[in-house]
This record gives sequence, structure tokens and C-alpha cells, in this order.
Amino acid sequence: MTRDLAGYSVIVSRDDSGNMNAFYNMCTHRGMKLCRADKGNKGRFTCPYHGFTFKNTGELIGVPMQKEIYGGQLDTARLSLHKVTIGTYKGLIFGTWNETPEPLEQFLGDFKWYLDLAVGRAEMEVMGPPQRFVVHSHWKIGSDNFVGDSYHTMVTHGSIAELGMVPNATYSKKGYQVYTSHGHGCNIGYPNPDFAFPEELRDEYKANLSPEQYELLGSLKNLIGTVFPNLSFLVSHTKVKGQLISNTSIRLWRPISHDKMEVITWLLVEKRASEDWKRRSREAFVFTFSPSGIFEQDDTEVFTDITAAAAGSLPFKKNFTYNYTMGLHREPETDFPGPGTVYADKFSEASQRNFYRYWLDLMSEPEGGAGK
Amino acid sequence: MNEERMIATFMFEQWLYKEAELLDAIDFDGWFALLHPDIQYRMPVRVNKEGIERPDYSTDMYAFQDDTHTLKCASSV
Ligand code: FES
Ligand SMILES: [Fe+2]
Repeated sequence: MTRDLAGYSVIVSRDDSGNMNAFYNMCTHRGMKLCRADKGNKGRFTCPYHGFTFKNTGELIGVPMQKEIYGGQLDTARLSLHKVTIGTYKGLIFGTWNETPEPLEQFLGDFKWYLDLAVGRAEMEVMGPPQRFVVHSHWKIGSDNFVGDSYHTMVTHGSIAELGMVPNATYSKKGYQVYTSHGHGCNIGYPNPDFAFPEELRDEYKANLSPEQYELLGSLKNLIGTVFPNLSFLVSHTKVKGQLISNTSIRLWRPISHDKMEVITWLLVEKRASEDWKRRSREAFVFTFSPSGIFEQDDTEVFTDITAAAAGSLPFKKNFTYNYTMGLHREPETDFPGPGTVYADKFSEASQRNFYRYWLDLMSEPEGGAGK
Repeated sequence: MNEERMIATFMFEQWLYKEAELLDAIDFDGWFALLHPDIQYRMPVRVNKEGIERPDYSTDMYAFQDDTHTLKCASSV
């Protein structure tokens, strides 16, 4: 498949021996894009410009009329595709242009405990292709919203509570806010009188999670988080057509420019859930979080207006700033079973402060520094 | 174009104006009354495929996937 990594197209493919490889989607001859499909099944890629052919391991294996026009002197070994460093965690593929990055498990660190609830609680599968839509918003506003902003829910999404799809206007306060190192953070909606997941899969959840994680999952109402910098996830439990149903999604806030991003959202369902459950979960997902989703539309309108208001030089000249002081007076919990810094009740901006602190750390690193 | 088709085209145009008028006036109940109760309103997610491979849209993911119930809900938020 092809994906974007920090503004550059990347091919991710599995070779004959089952290894996953990732390459810059650029021919090493004159720079043409090699693959234009979102996904597919291919052992080799032939460049549409002059026909250089590369194996899905990156090697250049074919050059039209090579002997004749290069006199047998073309050093094909030096023309392999440019490799991208990738790592996987619970089926998620992470990539970086850094050739010697911090190990992925270390980068995710304590945050794995929370990420597991969304992507590792059972064998999950992606339903259909991802939703993709462009929003005229700076990408960090999305990350900021998912890393810890439950405060907006009762106002921005107030009309949805009126519909009876979620309990009441202050439902979003109950639970926990968590942050860990590396800027990661999430909000946990808790408790939930109903079990949000397929009842018949309890044994699978038990097998995949620690007893403490399983206990939390049992009364989880929702889970919204961001893996620094721009991967977010969401478990949402709503009433659609009079029936409660949860949907789990992960999303990328893909920066296009400072004031534009593409949102790419994947729906995850338990592989062993019933077909009916999967269908209802998709229905809830499309209805709430998708280009036509009633939550999504509320949010993206806000993101767009914030971005527009921050445009140009005026905010800098006047030194206009935002306020991120919510919850500064509070002390973290000491008896929560999960790792990281945990606050009881979600209305705090501690997670956002942690997110931007890490971002600032990276941005202030001297050039040629360790990088991440 | 024969006379019958011209009249049909005209009537359909008028219907669209009427629909637009209801939406402009935020009369969602009035707009809703125009819909057939069995309506299925869907837009599949597009996918980029190579060459002539088709369909170039998904058959299992939608940008919207509405019926009377979800349309009713969405028009009241
Ligand atoms: S640019 Fe790819 S073969 Fe020339
Ligand atoms: Fe929101």
C-alpha cells in the first residue's frame, strides 16, 4: 500500500519471505512516483517514466535495453529504492525518516497500556478502506483535541446529548485523564453501566489484557487518545436506532500544510464479532465519525475556524496566546492501576501541556541532535 | 426532446426548487416529508486503483450511509 510519511509518499509492502519493507515512492533514476494505487498486490514496481523495475525488496532488477545504452556499466546495486525505517506494534505500522530512531516499544512506552485497550484487546481487523477527507485545519488542533479535550464535548456536541445518543451534557467529565512520556495522552470515559463490546468475546479480552486492563475495559464508556505526534484513536459508545453500540477507530491527522490536513480514519472491529455487530458498529462509525458524522462535522468546523483566526502575522505581532491552565491546581491519582500521570475526571489540560512540552523539546533540539 | 420529456424535466426542476426552498428555510420537517420511507442514501469511499481496475470505490465503507432513521436524527442536531 502507499502512505504518506511527513509529506513524502511511501510504499509499504510484504516480500516473498513475509518481511515488511517500506520505501520512498520515488524511482531512483529520475524521481518519478512508482506506485499510484492506494493498495494492491505486487511483487515488483515498474516506473511509468522509463521502465526501471524494482523488486518489492527495493532492488533494481530491470532496466530497458540496459546493456546497449549503458554499455554494461550501470551500477544497479547503487540504485535500490530508498528505505524507510518501520516498526510494528499490535498490527500498527509506524515509519520514520530517521535511520537510527529510538526503538518503537520505547517510544510508545507506558502508553502501550492504554493503546492496547483500543487496538490490542482482541484480534482486530480493519473494515473497508479508510475514510479520507481534507480539512482546512492545522493538524495539531486534531491531536490536541484527542489527547485531552473532553471539555468541548458538552458544548460542541451538545445537540447530540439532546438526541439521547449519549447520556447527558456532562457525561464527558466522568473518568480519567492520563499522560505519559513522549507527549502521548488520553481521556478515559468511566464508568459505564453497560459493557460496550461483544459479550461473547470476554474470554478473548481476558486473554489479551492484564486483569487491570480487563477490569477497566469492562466499564469503559469511551477512550480518546493521541500517540504523539499525529496518530489518534477513539472508542465511542453511543445509542444508534435505540441500541447501544461501540465503534473503535484510529486516525491520522496528516499535515498537508500549516493550515490544511487530510484526516485518514480506519474503523477497527473485533475479527470474531458477529457480522451483525460489525455492521452496526460501522453504521455508528459512519454516522458519528466520518465526513458526514455528526460529531466529526461539529469538530471540524471548530478546527477550521481556529486555524483561520490564527492566520497571518497579526497574532504573532500582538503576541496573542491560548490558555492551557485547566487543572493546574490538581494532584494526580496515586492508586490508578495503569501507568503514567493520571487525573481523576477528564476536565483538565494536563495532557495538552504534556503534548506541547514534548513538541517544544523536539523543536528546540539543536540541528543534528538525536532527533526522534 | 419531445413534449412529455420537456414537461417532466420542468416538473422535476420545480421539485428541486421546492426542496431547496425548504432547506433554505430550515424547514427540516417539511424537507423530511419529501423522502420515501425506504430511502437508502449512500456514498461509498473512493479508492485509487491502478489502470483499469474497477470498481474504484469501496463496497464496504461509506462517507455517508443513511436511511430514514439516521437522516431524521442528523437533521435534528
Ligand atoms: S524515472 Fe523511473 S525509469 Fe526513469
Ligand atoms: Fe469532538
